[in-house]
Amino acid sequence: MNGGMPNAGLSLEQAPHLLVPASFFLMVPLSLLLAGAILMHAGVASLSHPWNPQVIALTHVGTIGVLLMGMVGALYQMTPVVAGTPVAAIRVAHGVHVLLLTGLVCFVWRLLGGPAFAMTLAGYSLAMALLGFLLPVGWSLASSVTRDETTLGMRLAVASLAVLAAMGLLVARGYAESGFPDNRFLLTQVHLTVALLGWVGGLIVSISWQVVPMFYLAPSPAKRSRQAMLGALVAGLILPFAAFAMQPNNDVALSPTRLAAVAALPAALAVWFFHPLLTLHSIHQRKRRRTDASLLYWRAGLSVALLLVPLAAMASLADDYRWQILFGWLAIWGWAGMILHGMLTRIMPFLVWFHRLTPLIGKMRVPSIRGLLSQGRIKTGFAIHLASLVLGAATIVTQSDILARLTGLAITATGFSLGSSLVHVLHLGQRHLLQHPIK
Amino acid sequence: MASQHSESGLSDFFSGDHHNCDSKWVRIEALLDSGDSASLGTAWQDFDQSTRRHLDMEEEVLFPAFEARSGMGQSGPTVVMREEHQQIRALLDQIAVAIGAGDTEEALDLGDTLHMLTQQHNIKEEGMLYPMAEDVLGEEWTELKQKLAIY
Repeated sequence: MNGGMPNAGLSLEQAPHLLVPASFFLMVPLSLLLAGAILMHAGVASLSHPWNPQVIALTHVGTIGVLLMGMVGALYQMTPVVAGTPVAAIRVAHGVHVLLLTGLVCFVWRLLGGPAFAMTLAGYSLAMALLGFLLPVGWSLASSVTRDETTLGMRLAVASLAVLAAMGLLVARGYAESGFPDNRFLLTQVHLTVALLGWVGGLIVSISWQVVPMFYLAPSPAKRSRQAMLGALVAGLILPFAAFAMQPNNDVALSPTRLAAVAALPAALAVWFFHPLLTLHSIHQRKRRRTDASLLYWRAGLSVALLLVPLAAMASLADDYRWQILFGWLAIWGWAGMILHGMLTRIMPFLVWFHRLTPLIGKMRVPSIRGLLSQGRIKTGFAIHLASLVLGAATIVTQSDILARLTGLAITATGFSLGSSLVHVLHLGQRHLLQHPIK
Repeated sequence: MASQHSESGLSDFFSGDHHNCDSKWVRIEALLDSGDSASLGTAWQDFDQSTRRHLDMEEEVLFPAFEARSGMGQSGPTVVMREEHQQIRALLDQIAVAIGAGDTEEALDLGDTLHMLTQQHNIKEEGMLYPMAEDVLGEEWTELKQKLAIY
């Protein structure tokens, strides 16, 4: 009777050990310290022309060190719960962690003046890390019997990660002195589209459909809206690939790169217009009227998202390169980074509580999740993050070197704030286990 | 309470009851926030009883029927669900103590914890267990519904 009947994901034992998501989450504040160091060392050069090596280094500290690390950790944790299937060979996650870190460090090293072989090493490390992540997680998601929009969105995000990684590695070969591909700019444009809209957007959108109603008892978007957003996302991710069939031309207005950017419009509208609008509305209508500090991050991140379509248009049409930098800054640190930061302050205390304290419930008085990380601490982290975001935007507009270094300082402070919060939570959970006798 | 779901299927019945309990917790939070201690006692009793009744309905009716029909007893998903039910009950006890002591902040914080615990529990039940149970218990649902009506 039970043949083929899935019971995976229903057991705490099938969730990964706390160390798996926590090790990835802890890389987020460390990467922020690295980003802060780059900004303080290189100054405004790291927020100037899009093809500056310092800009590319800073961008990838943000996308790989902050976003990818946080999202990979979250996927290891959430896949068994949401998709109902455990992630196979979970111990490989520790290897993925080491390889991602190695890849990031080598990548940044090369772009900041290191030898060419550093990029070769970065390429191999990142490729192996992503294979080690994508195969088991992709398999788990693909074999899930759950067919809701959240699972579909997670599948889309994971597939996008595979595609963007392949394209990124092709371009990165140029920095390893293997020569840039002829269509480098088009590849980079589509790489950026798939990264921001498919991978980051797909995951933020689909996870929000699960966690916003869950955390705040907010109404879910209608099924038809969710399906429409997923459809637009898929269309906007596939259409840009048509630009690869175009012959290169000298007409800037109709260049394959620009057409690829325009072709992503359905996905951009879904992720940066309809999703934030619907989610902000949903949060406004939530049943739990108490203001949880994590809501600050959602509101700020979603509000920034509403700026991204017009900014992307300006970045694509205007000659002034500052539009491109401003778009990237707000997309990575203002939208995705803000939401990820807020989620970490909610998820990490819950995981520590769930793994370390649930065995004690009923045997002794256990602290609450909020007792592990205070609302005040979360609000302080938000204020510092917001300050760094505004400082960075001001740096890009004014191209002031002093402001760039101050931004670096604020990013470093954000890293310290988040890092100390995460370590504090882990420490409290452990201390509680050791110190409190069973009553 | 059970009769309000009498026309729905198994998944809708139990999922609807989850939402019913959620709404009752929202009321407790509002009362704790507003300091309305006069209404709090009754509202708390209502929430506490509804939640415990839901857990009892699952443990005494749904899970045994599911385990018997699916063959998944000792190692199946219901084992973990029962463990989490015990954790939910223990947290209810802790919140009751905090409310009794007039410790509003502690009650709110523990309530938030209970909310997080039950929500992740509900995802697993609504996403996996109920659909599986609906598959194997479809023909018995009318009979099970009658048993649930007494709760």
